[in-house]
Amino acid sequence: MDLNNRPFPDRAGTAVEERFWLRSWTRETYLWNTEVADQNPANFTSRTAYFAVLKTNAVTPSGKEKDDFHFSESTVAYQQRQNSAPRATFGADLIALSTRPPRDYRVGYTEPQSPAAAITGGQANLVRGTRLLRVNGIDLVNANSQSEIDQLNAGLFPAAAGINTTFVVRDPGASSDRTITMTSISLSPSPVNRTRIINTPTGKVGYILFNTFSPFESERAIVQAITELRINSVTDLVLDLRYNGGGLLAVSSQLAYMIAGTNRAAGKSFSKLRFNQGAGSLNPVTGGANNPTPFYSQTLGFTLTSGTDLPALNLSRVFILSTADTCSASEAVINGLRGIDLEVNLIGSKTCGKPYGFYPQDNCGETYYTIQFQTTNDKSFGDYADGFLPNNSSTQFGVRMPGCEVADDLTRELGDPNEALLAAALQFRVNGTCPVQPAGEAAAKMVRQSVSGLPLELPARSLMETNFDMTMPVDRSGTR
Amino acid sequence: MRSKSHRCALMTAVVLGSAACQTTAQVSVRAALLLDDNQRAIKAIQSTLEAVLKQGRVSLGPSDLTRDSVITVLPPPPGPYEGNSPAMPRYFELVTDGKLCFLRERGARELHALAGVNCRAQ
Repeated sequence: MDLNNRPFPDRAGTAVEERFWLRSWTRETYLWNTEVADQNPANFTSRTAYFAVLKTNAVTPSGKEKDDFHFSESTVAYQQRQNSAPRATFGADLIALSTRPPRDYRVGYTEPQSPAAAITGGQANLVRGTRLLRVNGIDLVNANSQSEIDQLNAGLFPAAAGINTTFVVRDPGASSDRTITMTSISLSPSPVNRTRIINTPTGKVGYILFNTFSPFESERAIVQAITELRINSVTDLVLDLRYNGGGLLAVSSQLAYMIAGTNRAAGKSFSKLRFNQGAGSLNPVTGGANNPTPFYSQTLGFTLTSGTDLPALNLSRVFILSTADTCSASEAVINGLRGIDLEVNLIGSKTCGKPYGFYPQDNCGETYYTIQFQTTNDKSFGDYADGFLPNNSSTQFGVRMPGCEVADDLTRELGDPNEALLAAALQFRVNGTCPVQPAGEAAAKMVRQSVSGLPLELPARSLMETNFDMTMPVDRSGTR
Repeated sequence: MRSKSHRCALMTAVVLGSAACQTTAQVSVRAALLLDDNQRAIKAIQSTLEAVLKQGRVSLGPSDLTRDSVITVLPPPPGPYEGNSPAMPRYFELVTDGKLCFLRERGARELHALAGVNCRAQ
């Protein structure tokens, strides 16, 4: 029995049989199966070594690997993450601008109701942009022994709730340091971190910081957020997906519907999955018909009772805030709305470029990930492997679209109309112009990585947080 | 109602080796509601679904089966790298022929008898 109490459906075979199974599975389900050189499984000594060659070696127009999502892990590890309970945390998302000395770790955002967001002495413990300097007395910036690195990791990422940790921090724009002590709690990150109604001379603008499509809770959270905006009669929406790595395509379809409304979305496909040519009209993984995903106009039952009509803003345009962490189902929202000619404006930087997906497959205790489908929109477009980018970007490759290239701004809170990406969206909304990019702190992401000294790595996020994919290294320096 | 369901389940178990009673016979059924939303009925529904879906454990989405006949079976949660997850719930409906209570998957004809569950036509 596996961790989910399901009996294993297969029976044990030899190691070479397992490699033959990988060969057959690749031929049947891999998206680019005709680009895989056929190699004799018997010539390999391990299943992972053989699996590593069962992929295309083609590159995208920018030169990056067409398939850089090909990997496996133990099924136990996979299922443990699937079943993970809320984790112990202080509730601060960290951004590593430099993982090696002199290290630079900042707070990207804090979770609602978390120790990080708690008010102590009239001040939030941590705010966006706060730099971490010392953890339990260890110099985070300069420490360079493995023992110190281990202590920093233990302090930053507590193993359990109830652990007290002392931090020395410096807030953005401050000239002195602060010392705070926080106690870890068990917490699941909120899919919708915050919503705002921004009053402007040209009408109310809604703002939603939506950080993940992954947990089932994302359905309820985004419906509640859209409902709030609808009650407030917003006439435009700024959707902040800058840290949203994706998750459930069904929820991204619901979100797209709630933006566009029935008149624009009815009868259209939000996404269509493109499998390898041999699959014909079938999904080669499930064996079922490969039907398009509509713009779901009702609740689906993930966390809201199924069959209830969704609220809709009925907008003709949307402003999406993006970084290289904007991936997968987030990009599907962009592509799906463009597929029905809704005006999508992109403010920020190039998205990660992942129009692909897979069904994780267990075999003999190893779970394999191989690209099996490409998501396309109602116009059958899905070629954005080099990402979406604003029209004025200096980057050569990617799918250009209206908007402004703006560096992520760690000096102001998310949802603050003066935060660089949001401010740019509000300006672009009014007159179609882009701001001149400010220098200084807003360009903090440009800090160069040191190349010497021990790295302090951010651990991969858990399932219940933003989904990551293999294009994003654990060290996220410079990616935001 | 309960005794007939038990008999049906027993017969099927003998024939098919399954605890869930399945029939494709032309039985006229209507959407149904639970008489009361007690844990025993929900457990019986879950057990039947586990047998039907051949899963050791199923998780149900939110519902009030005393007011709505749709039962949502949640998919496994997306894994950590599934940024484009096509996972969707599966939908079953609580139905009755006036005597017995059954589960029927949306779009399918097979009826799966529920043992120990009391329901009424919607």
